[in-house]
Amino acid sequence: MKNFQEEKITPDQLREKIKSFYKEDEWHFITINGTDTGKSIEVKYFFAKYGKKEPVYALSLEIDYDQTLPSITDLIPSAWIAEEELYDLLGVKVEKAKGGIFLEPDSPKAPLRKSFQPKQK
Amino acid sequence: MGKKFVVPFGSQHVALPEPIRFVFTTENEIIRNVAVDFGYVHRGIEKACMSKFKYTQVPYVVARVCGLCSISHASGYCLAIETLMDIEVPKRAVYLRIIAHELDRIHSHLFAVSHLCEVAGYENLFMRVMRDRELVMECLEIFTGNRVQYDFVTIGGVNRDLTKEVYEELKPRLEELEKRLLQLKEIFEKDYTLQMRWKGAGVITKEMAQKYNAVGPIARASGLATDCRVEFGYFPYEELGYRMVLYHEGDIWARNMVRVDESLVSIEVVKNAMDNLPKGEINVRVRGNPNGEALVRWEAPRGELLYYVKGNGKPVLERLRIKTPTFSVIPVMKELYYNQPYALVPDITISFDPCLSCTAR
Amino acid sequence: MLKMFFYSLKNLFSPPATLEKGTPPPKNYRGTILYFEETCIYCKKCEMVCPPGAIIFTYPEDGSKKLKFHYNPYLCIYCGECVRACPKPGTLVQAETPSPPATADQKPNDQWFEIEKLAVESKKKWQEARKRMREQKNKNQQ
Repeated sequence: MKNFQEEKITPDQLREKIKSFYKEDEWHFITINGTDTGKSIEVKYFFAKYGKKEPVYALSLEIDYDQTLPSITDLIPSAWIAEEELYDLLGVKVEKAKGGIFLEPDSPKAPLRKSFQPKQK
Repeated sequence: MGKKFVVPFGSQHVALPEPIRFVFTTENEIIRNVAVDFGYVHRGIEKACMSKFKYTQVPYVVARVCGLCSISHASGYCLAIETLMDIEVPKRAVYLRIIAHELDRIHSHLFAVSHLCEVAGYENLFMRVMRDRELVMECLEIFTGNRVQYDFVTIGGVNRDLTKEVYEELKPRLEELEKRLLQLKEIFEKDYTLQMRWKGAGVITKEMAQKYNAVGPIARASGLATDCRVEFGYFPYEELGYRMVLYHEGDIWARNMVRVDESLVSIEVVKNAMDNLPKGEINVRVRGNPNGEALVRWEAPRGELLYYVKGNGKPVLERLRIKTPTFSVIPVMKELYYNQPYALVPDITISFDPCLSCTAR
Repeated sequence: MLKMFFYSLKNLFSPPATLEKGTPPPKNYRGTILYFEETCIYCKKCEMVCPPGAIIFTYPEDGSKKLKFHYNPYLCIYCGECVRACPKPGTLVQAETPSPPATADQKPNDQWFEIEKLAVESKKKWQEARKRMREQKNKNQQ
């Protein structure tokens, strides 16, 4: 059974929603996660409260394979590393992400997508 | 205005345990600009768990992400699958899991403390802490069968039991270890040369820790009271004598003392758990396939570990996501280096206790 | 700082803290896996459960039910899953001594790749032989 709270929004509402509830001394930003479902990519943002026993709060969006996501590094300064990972491993275009941290220049692109199968022996 | 020099703190260095690369731009030996690169040990474990291994074999694969915190990864995954499939674990297995986790936390913290002494130049103390750590490694070998990779936790419980002979062997070793740790704590509080080197260096204030979302012993050394053992609430830590360790200075000395104090609290928890073990089974049979999504936050020795699992009714998972504590702490590290003297770089890096195999899995 | 100085002087005149070479491992050490063929029923559960794939069965060409067991102690991680999955206790047993180390003239990797290829080919031939046996039995009954 699912043990976290989820709320569905569109990519345009993302920045206003985070501005409305995120305060630095109350909320803790955990990470960003992307899943390839075969038809689209589902992106989730996870948050938790400091020192309280409440379930994790998640915001989830759904985007196409070559849509661009807005960047949230001016509201949450430590989110640049999660956005670089989305760009490197899943091929999701985010503003200001350059890539090259996880993968080298001569490796295959976007290995975590379903269309990439590793070569058999 | 001096001339600007570019200095690499390269991927292979004498002071680094694992490969990470920084490129510093310095002016008169003060750092002005930093660039980070990791990912030298990327092995593609998430992709392998989504395409090649069945969901019952994944605890053994995921335990090999890191060498020092291997039981935290296996336990986090098993907790996530048990939450997803509504499996009830017997109480004796929960207490045995706590004993293994706390012994693992002691040995990882002692490794970090000894490495910090070595980088400060005090090699005598480095060897003394490593010798005291051998007591914990002997305990683990008698209890689980191996010193580092204990394949101890599976879905539905644990694999081995705690018998009377094992209890007789563990008890004198833990008493001896507590005496030696109290002597070490006195050395760290009173020694003159270590205080000159570590006090007031590499300070992280509480506002900086909140702004950049620090986790683990680094946050607790700056006064930010966050610990997943209190916030997630799966294991019964409060009744076993656990208390949170907080310091307010935020420098290298405070991070060191947090690790030594946490080891003392862990020895207390292990002794209480071994004396009050409930009777019962040690594991439960598992049937069926996972369907749905679940999430677990667990406290590894270095900070907060997140596991997110999604299944769709087949024996192979659809998505497995691991977020490791060093992944959250790298933005704080990058921000801390600005306007520090270049000679303090090895001390600051090792006081964060980086584990790069976890980060670039 | 004075206490550390006296501690170092005491260490100078005591025996070393490391164990001698050849010390036996402690009790309940996770050692190598032993196989006893008398009680095996060839259900192949150990092959399905093993995480790195260190157990492989090869098939005989004449279609009989007696398969051949191969075990690779250099791929094995000594977790004990095969011992727990076996339905007949006493067939697979975990010993308390470690596996012997590999030497250069044993060629462990090349022999194991050949066994993997042999398992795939011999399974096809075994399935064809079983099909022929079943058709023969149907013809005899009519």
